Amino acid sequence: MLRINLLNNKGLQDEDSFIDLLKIDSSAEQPPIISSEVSKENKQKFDEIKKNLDEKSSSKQKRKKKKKKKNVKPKSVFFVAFILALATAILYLYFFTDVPEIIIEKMSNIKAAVNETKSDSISNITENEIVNEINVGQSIADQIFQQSKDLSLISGVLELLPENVQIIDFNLKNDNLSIICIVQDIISGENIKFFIYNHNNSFKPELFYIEKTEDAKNYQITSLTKILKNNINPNEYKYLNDKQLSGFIASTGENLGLEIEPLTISKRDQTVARQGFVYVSGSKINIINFCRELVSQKINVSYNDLEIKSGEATSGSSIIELKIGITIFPQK
Amino acid sequence: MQWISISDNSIIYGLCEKKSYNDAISRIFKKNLVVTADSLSFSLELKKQLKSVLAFFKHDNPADRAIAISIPANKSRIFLNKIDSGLANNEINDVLNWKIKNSLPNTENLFTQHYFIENEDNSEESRYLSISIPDDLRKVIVASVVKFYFEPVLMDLGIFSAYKLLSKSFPLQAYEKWGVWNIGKENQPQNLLVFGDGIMSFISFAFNNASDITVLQNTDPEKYDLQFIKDLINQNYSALNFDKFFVYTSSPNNIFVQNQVDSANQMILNPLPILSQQKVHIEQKFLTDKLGVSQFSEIAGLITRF
Repeated sequence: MLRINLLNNKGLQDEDSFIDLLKIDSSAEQPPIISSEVSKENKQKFDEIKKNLDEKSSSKQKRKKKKKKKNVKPKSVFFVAFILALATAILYLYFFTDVPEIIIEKMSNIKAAVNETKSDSISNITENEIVNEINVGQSIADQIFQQSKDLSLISGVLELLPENVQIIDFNLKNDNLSIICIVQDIISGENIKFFIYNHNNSFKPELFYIEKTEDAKNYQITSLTKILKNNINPNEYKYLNDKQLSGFIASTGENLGLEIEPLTISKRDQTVARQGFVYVSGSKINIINFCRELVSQKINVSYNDLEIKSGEATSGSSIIELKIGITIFPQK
Repeated sequence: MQWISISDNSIIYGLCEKKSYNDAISRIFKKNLVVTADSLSFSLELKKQLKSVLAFFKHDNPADRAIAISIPANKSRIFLNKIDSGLANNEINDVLNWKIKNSLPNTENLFTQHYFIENEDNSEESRYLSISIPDDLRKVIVASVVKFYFEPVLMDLGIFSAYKLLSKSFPLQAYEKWGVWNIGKENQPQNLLVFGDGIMSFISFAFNNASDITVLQNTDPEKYDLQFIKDLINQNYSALNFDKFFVYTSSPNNIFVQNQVDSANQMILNPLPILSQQKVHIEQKFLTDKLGVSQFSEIAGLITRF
């Protein structure tokens, strides 16, 4: 009797092979979190998997270090670059003092974030207090819930845009969603209008018109809409630390085949609310799915503002660039 | 022991509960998968629903963490290959891999296994069943299971599990050939497995662009019914040459199919006798009609493997 087991190894199966436990590659996901409910036997098996993953990651890191050593540049170049960077930083801080300083997690590639969820280090630059904008009176769960809803609405609008859309402006700031884009047919515009006007509880349209472009070939959609706040039931949310969060965002993006930049977080201290940015680019449908995946997970992150641009088209399919400003909340 | 049977539009799952030292019962549940046609949507929805199924299992905190899973056969590509006898194992593997590489446009993201099939005659060729599934799908399932501290022990294809159920339920007479049909959404026959003394052939039907089987390039929805299958059988295709056929569905609201299957050699597969023998209980709401019950064929087959 043929006994199929797709958990066995690839290739030719032994006639008697049936169960070949745990010869499986779980590298697609992060290693599991240890739980007290698990039996000792299971723990040992998962430890083995974890160990294998660690070995892989450490060998990767060694390779990376070797590569880094090869790329040594003359000291003078570093000196000039340092002076320029310092001058830029001073000017930046002088003119835009209310903008948080951005510190980037030095993950040299996304794969490392997905497989290892180990950020090597976080640069230690002066930490400014950036919590001012966060409404302390409102519960964190409320904010997460509301802003997840916003992101979900945005992905709904985005889904209605055709593949060949030319986005001029698409951003959400302070509950105002502004869209200016050019489409080839009027139906796409009508669809968006219908979507916005029929979400009475979510949108308050302030301006919406569709007009022919100057060359009379295409249509320009201009829309300004306020996203309304609903009465919210406070929801529980799951806390992810920075490593887990960057791993989650990177793996979500990578699973969808998106180009994703390392997560940018404003400061190291995880006990206060901090801001960050997520940058991804890819096809429209994957961006939509990315937003939905983020929204579906109730984690300690709210999505404050959002900006979408048309990126460079590659081999016939258009690319969209998405930037989301996030607030990362501390553990309850 | 836990079982998860995944189909295109649902997850059927069950767990064994020990009531006392020598008394255990099992219960089966069902969740729908709301997916569009693309594979990404399937993968995302599957991940989400698997998570909730595994959380449900975990809530019970079972001592036995083993999980057996079946995945829909139409996510796989299956080939029956013949190669010369007398080759070494590594050579057989290379030849079979080469054959698969030449048969499929892109094999990079596929996970492929080859199984030896015993010959019906004493020919000089050996037969192998090669199964290829998307590696991503396999990884999504395995990683989800491992994350919840369960132990994946078996991954089967749904229709092969149904075949196991059938071979347990009915003794096959010598030289008989039987077919198992899996009917999917909108009366479409999805997969057919023909077996006699072992597996004889497997056919997967693709109706979208009908690239797989030219004879099925018919866009008339009226034709997607069992009459269509019967017509096919009457056309004497060698692959469809069998004595009895059994139908089961993964989309139980398929009344049209039910009315068509009524004779001694055309039956709806019934998993209930085997399930009650194994003390497996199904929620009353699913026990509507024969076709509704047949959706539990794959999980019943999975249960019979242990």
